[in-house]
Amino acid sequence: MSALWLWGAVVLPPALAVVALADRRGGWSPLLVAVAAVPGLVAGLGGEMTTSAHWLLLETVLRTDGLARTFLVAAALLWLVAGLVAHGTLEDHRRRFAALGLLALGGNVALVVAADVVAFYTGFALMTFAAYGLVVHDGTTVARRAGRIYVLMAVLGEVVLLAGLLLAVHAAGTLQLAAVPGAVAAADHRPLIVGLLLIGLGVKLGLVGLHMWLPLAHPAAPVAASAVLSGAMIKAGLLGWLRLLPLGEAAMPGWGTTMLILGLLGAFGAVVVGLTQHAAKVNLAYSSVSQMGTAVALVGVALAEPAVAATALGAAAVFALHHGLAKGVLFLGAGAVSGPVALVGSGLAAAALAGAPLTSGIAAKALIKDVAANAGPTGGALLTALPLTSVATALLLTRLLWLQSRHTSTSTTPWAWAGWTIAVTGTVLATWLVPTARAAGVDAVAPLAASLDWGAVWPLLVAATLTALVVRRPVRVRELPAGDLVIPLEALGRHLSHHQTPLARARAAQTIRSGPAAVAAGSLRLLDVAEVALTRWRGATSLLVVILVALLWGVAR
Amino acid sequence: MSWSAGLPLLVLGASLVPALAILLWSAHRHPARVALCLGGALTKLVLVGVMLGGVTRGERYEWRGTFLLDLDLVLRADPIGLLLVSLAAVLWLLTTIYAVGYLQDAPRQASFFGFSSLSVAAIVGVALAGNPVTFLLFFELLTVATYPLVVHRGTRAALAAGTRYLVFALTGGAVLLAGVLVLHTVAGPVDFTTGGVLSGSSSRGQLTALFVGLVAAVGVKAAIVPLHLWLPGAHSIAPGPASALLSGLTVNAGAFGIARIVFDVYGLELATDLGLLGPLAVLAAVTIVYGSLRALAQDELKRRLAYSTVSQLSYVALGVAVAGPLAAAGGLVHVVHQGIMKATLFYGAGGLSQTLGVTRVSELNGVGRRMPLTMAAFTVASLGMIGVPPLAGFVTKWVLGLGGLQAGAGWVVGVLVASSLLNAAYLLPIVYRAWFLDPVAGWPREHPPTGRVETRPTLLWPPMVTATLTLLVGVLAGAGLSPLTWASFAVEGVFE
Repeated sequence: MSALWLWGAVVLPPALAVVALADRRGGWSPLLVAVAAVPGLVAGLGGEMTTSAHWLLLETVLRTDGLARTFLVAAALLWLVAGLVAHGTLEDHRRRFAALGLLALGGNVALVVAADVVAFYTGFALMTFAAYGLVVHDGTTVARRAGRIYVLMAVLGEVVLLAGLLLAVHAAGTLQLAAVPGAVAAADHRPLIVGLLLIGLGVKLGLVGLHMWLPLAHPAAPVAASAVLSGAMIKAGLLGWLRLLPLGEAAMPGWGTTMLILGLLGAFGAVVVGLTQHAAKVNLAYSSVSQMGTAVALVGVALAEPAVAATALGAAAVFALHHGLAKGVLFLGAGAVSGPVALVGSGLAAAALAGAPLTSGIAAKALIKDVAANAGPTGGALLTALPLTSVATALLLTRLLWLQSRHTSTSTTPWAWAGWTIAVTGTVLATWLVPTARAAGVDAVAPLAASLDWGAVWPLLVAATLTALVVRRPVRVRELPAGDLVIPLEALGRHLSHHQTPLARARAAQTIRSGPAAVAAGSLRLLDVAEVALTRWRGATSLLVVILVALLWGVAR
Repeated sequence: MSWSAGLPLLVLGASLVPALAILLWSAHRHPARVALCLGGALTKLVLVGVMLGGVTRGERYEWRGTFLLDLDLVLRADPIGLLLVSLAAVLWLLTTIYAVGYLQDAPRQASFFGFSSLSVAAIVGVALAGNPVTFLLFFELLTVATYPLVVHRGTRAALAAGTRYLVFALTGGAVLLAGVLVLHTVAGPVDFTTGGVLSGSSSRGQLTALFVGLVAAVGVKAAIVPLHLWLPGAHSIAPGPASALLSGLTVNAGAFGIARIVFDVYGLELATDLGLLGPLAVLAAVTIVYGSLRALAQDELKRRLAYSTVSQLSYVALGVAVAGPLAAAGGLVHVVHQGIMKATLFYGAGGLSQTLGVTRVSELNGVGRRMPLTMAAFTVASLGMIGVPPLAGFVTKWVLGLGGLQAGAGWVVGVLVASSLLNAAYLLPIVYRAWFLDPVAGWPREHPPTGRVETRPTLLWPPMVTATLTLLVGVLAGAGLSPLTWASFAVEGVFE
């Protein structure tokens, strides 16, 4: 294992993005995404190592510690799959997809293996902005609206994160990520820093209240991109939390409880909205919000109870690996492949997410249980909620399988099946891929052995019973609009811009067309008037004369 | 004359000689003009390289000549000045190449090449000036040299913008003259000296008034609100290469002047003691936000970019006024970063207007497909301005923000956040329109495409080079020859 693989994992994707531009006809370039993911996979499966380059950015340090390797294996595998599937399914703009996908892949890998704050933030931003192109790839009205909301929230997240990182680095006095949690714990402005980090990274992982972009963007993207968006990229927010928050360094019960509540709100609320959806990909996007809700709750517990932080880190990493791979399979089933075989694969992945025995899901949940059982009142709440999240997930994904079975896609290609096969294999073997997670202080195989447990089975029975009841007596429910909270916000923006006529008029003259931005633009026109008045001869000279007089007066005094 | 005294003169002469030659003798011969400019620019690049190497090794380059009475002219290469001189060398070369394509077959080329060279000579003089008198001389020369660039088109609008510019610049110049005279009375004939030359020489009231006057005088060129009013008109009405040169290079004279006043005339200690830096920092912060807000409301592309200059330029003043080593490095390095990014944007805007006749943001739909390379460069510079890593603007924001925190001015981070959001709000729509919207039928004024390339190579290569530099100065920020490393080296002397 040499440092070459690690550097290759970071450098090869952007380098191949340049190569992709040579593919004028849009033929082979999506395959480059798969090729570029290979070094990351090798580095993730290899041992722990550190390497640095002082001339790169502000002294870049890369490290594959246990946490990084777990996230890296999941991300690289998903990107590998996405490359194959994109090659097999994309019809238009293949070259653009490949180039932007490669940049996003490079960012994703970089942020995972970064050991210094600037490299982390650089990877994070590269991934976020490149992924915008993947979201709007189809160019439809729906995709563009999704893209607008995506980029708005992403930019907000980026700047909030930047502020949080600046404060954290100032407190730490070094750029090393490893020094940040301890420094934040001891910092004067601890609540401010923690708040900024929670929000800045929370946008990415779909924290409730900041999640609105996710159910719009993930379904709008082509299916290959959805798989990496939901499987790999939202994990960047989680990894950022695990690396930067003062987990294990300080007890923050208030923040922890808040996160626990928000997490559980996401875990269950997203299922309620998701169950009403008619589109499989929207259902899956809400499932992602729900799953990340569980992770958020876990981080909340770790914030409140420093004693369990170390095990919580490992559990969160395994959970991320497990959810990423399973969600990848499910997204492929919702658009890249179809038929009974595809349905079986989706069934396996769904079972894993619902925590069925012998799956990666039960291993992840057993680890979370282990954390929660030792973590006081917040842990107790999570412990109680955990089986119920399994029930909710089982219901939501049963609905998904039903949606998928009714959908008969026509064209599937060998490339898409190849990608799908890798993803399914990865999902089934996920728990045994986890040896990498052991380095993070976790033994994931033991809980798997103990998974043939009543606790793992009853939630599924409850879900099955409920499903059976609904099948016998169907209930009609209105489909809730995807993006939920974004709807009233958009309406508010329209309301503000329509009901103030002078501003509406000003808006017509501006390039900004919608929402609160138009209101702001209207107010800005007042500045125009003021500037024109001041720019006249007399305005300008009197201003300067005043300064001149002040100067002479001061000297004379 | 020894080599170490001659070098600053040579660097200045590399632009001054071509400028005078073009303006006085070779007005009618295009190839000769271009050859003079390119030769001068290449010579300057080499000389600047030599000087950078020498200064790193601790050599001193200083030339001193008698001017009037007891007044000396001093040209001296100090690390801070070399930041601006290097930028001047690079942008002059690229802008000359760009102008060859942009002005093809246009009238009054001698005027453009002559006065652009003279502007470069003036800004190099400002950067190398070793005492207030020399600074004043080149500062006024800069006004004279840039005015013809602003009114180059000769239209009514151009003349009006030019007049406004002159009113502001000459009044500012008059105030500066008064200020330098007062300075001379108070402190005698002094050189710029790190740590200041004024301590204990006068009453606090007088020193404060002098500071206000000096900063206001250079503040006109630095476009500090409300002295920025001339800039958007002047920079947007000028022809493309002139806009790039004005907004990327010559505006720095003002910001640079503020740094000289704070570091080398008053000294950080005295300026802090008098309580002058706090208000200056606040004014810079207000300008940063105000300029961005105004940019948001502009539909004319070059006007939007010009307001962006108003905003971005005050990063330099903010970094200086926050008065911490890291913040100062972040501010000073933005001279270079802003310069190459803004030049890229104006090159791109000029390319669009020359090739397609597109001048408004609302006309930009789909230009990415018609001119992909130009827009790729424009996109890189836009993202850089917003502060997306690993581009130049991110390095500025990171170092400046951290420096603000280090100096106990945490609110700087808030200003940076607001500025980044606003930058995104006025630049991302451009990028979005260019790449993701379909073109409306036909371009306003499309020149027939020549061959396979999207536009003339001379219009294409300069923005590609500056965009690449925008990427490289960020990615290689930690390397020995990066602007950041140099700026940190330059402020070391100030904060010892």
